[in-house]
Amino acid sequence: MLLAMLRSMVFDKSAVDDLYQETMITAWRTLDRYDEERPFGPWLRGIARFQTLAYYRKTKRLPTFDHDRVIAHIENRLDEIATRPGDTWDEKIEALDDCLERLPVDARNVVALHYEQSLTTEVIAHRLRTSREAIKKRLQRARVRLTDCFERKGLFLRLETES
Amino acid sequence: MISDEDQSDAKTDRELADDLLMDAILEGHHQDERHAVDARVRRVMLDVNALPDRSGEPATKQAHLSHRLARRGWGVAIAAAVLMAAGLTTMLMISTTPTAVAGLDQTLRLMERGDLTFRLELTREKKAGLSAVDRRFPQQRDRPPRHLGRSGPPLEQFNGAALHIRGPKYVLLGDRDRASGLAKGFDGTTHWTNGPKQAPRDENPRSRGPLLDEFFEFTTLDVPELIRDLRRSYDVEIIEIESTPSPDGFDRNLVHYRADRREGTRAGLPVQIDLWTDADTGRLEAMDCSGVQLRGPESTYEVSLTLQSDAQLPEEWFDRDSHLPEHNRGGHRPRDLDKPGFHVPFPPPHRNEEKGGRPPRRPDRNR
Repeated sequence: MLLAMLRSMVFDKSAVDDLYQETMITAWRTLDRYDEERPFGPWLRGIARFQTLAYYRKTKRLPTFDHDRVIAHIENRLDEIATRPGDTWDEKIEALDDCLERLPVDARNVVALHYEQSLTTEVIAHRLRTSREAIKKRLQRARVRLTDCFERKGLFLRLETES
Repeated sequence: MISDEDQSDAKTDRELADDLLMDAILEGHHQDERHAVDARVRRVMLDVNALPDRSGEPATKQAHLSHRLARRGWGVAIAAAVLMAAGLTTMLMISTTPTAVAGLDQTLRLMERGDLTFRLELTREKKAGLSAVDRRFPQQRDRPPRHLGRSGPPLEQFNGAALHIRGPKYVLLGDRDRASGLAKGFDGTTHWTNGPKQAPRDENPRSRGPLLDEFFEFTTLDVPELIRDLRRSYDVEIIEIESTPSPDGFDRNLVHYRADRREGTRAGLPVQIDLWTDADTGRLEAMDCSGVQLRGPESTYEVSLTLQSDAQLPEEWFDRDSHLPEHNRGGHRPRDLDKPGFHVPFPPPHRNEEKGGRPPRRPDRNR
């Protein structure tokens, strides 16, 4: 779950691992400050958020979006997943495989090429003889479908449309 | 992760957040193979180990929390990091050899610092079918038995013996009152053997005397060395964390390791070793070795050690002169033994049960 949060906040893959490590070490060093009466996950994610902001400041690669609002929403989503039955992250998002199965074939293929085989959008576009923009669109539509599927299955609360 | 150039077209912060999160979920779903998690945990643990050593401190909040976190399934790495740094041995769900063996480093460190007394039990492995050695290493079945025809005391008399360990030093005592003088040990520089009818002597580890010589094959006497051998010669995995009641009413967690000897490694080592260490302290609580060749390949034993005490032993306890037979003892006797009330821990059966706990659960080898 922590990795999911870090991955959603940071572009650079190697930085994700570094931040994960920093978060764990910081958590260990400051564990005496953790209030046992409160849930551990949000406390740990708070450290991760702090570490991420420090990373942004250090690298001067601030995201173009409203970071605080986006992160707040991601944390809400993670809290929703945290309430799901299961001890591990994989158990909690067990429904993902079913949601992937329900994707249209072309979307499923692009998802597999990008996430499973780690191909860039450019390579996929070349392989499927289409434009990179088209691949980006397909991937984004697939993610939206998966989010909808999560909402239908109760992993995410269904949100009202923002005005 | 969506790259800089692939920035999402989401229109609102919520949509963007959902898109970023689903991207992260998909990436993790396909890429968080066990080895990746393992590597990540190892990195964290290396850093945690570089922090000031807290293992000498009493039970810390970290140690207490680690159990809660582990039970909640909250992040393998934080649990592992916390456990390790608090002097714990477990890496929880991580079962590859390097990581699992790393967990036993703390067990070794504890053995260097204090004294441990184990109850030793010997069981001859049944002849039904092939022995554990034969099943695993069939090519060794045709090897001429090295010890065939050698005489020696029946090994069964050591069933229930006490094995005292202090780092590399050890003493194996055949009986509680030491009347027989049947003892074997290593004082840090010299291997020695005391027999009931003969004068004591020192031994070069490579020149074996007739008395108890089989026990030089009995590599489990040098438990720390055997644990070090796990890294060299065994595939080690963590089987499970077993919860067992303890006298203070709280559950105690034991980490159950299983080590299988690799093919092509030194013969004479046990074929399979099960170890249980205390999840809080890393202390070795029990060990089962199967396929131990004490008298040649045609005769294999199962050797079990169960921790009986971690009481500090007299300074001279590992010296040969401390364990001479009555008639040969002369003026040699450890000073502490003469102190009123001093009690040398000799293993009664299942001390843990008497205190309200129970010995570690022995493995189901068919699992």
